[in-house]
Amino acid sequence: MRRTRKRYFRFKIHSRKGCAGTKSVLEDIWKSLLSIYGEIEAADSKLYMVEFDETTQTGILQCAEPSLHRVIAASALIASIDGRTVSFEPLKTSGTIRSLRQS
Amino acid sequence: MTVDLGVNIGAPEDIDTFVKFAQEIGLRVIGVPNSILSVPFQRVNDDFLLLRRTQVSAKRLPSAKRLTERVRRQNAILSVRLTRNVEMANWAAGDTRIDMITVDQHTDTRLRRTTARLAAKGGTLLEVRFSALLHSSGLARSRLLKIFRENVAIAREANMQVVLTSGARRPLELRSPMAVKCIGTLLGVEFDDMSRIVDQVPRSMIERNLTKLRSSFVAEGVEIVQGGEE
Repeated sequence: MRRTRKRYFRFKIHSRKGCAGTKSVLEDIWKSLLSIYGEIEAADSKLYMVEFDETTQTGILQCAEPSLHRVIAASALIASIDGRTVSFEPLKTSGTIRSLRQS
Repeated sequence: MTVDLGVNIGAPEDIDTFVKFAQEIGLRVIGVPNSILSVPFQRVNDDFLLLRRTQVSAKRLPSAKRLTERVRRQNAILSVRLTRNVEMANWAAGDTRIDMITVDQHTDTRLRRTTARLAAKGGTLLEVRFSALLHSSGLARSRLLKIFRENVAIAREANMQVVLTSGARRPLELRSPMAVKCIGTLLGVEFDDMSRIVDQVPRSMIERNLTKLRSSFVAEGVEIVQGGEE
């Protein structure tokens, strides 16, 4: 099997009340991806949450390079997490986690 | 400059919250309904611009033309919603006073190729309001995507410019320019083309309209540089 390159992106969840938990954020991104692109694309995206800070509501997601824009599009369409209205903001994309952590 | 030409602020007291959040996610210009702003444009601070927009809606074409004549100079943006009324769509596409033809969740028709060609000649843009995509799922969203994708494809085939607007009714429905670029890929636009759609296309329309609103503007290419004595 040919290895696909990975891409990382930093994101922020904006919300007026309360914080979203790591598990529910990742679950909602998966659900949105599955709903829009289907099971094959969701599987091929190799989505993985590298880290998520629940206090700042920022995190880093890892996915396969060809799926990057699809993962961001699916995430940007999330309107609520745990019943709270949210806005998903992709901050920066990169090929390495280090550069995202430094910025 | 990063722009969202279609923000649906409901009440004037909400402006501050919208502006604050829009700035936070990197927007610099937003188009707001005519009920919110009394002047064609307003600078909130050095970094942020509010544009007044009106959706021209009338049952019959002569009324739409009269309304356009009356409100053009009081607005930075004029739009017409795409309906089954072909005569209205063709007029909106060809009339240079109309800036955009809007496609949203209420649209149940397709842009005609001839209308798109007219719009491409007249510089009228196709506005796609994506807020309904955030609140729908499954079959409903699929139907919405079908309408959006078909209209975007017809417009691009005819070289009609496309812009994406949020149509946000609440601040958290606004999306950052990067998010909008990726949402655009759902509508069949390549990611590389989205930079132009998110920034250059609306920016050139705004610049053109703000120039026309200056008191020194006479006609395209004609401007009063210095006033003479009577």
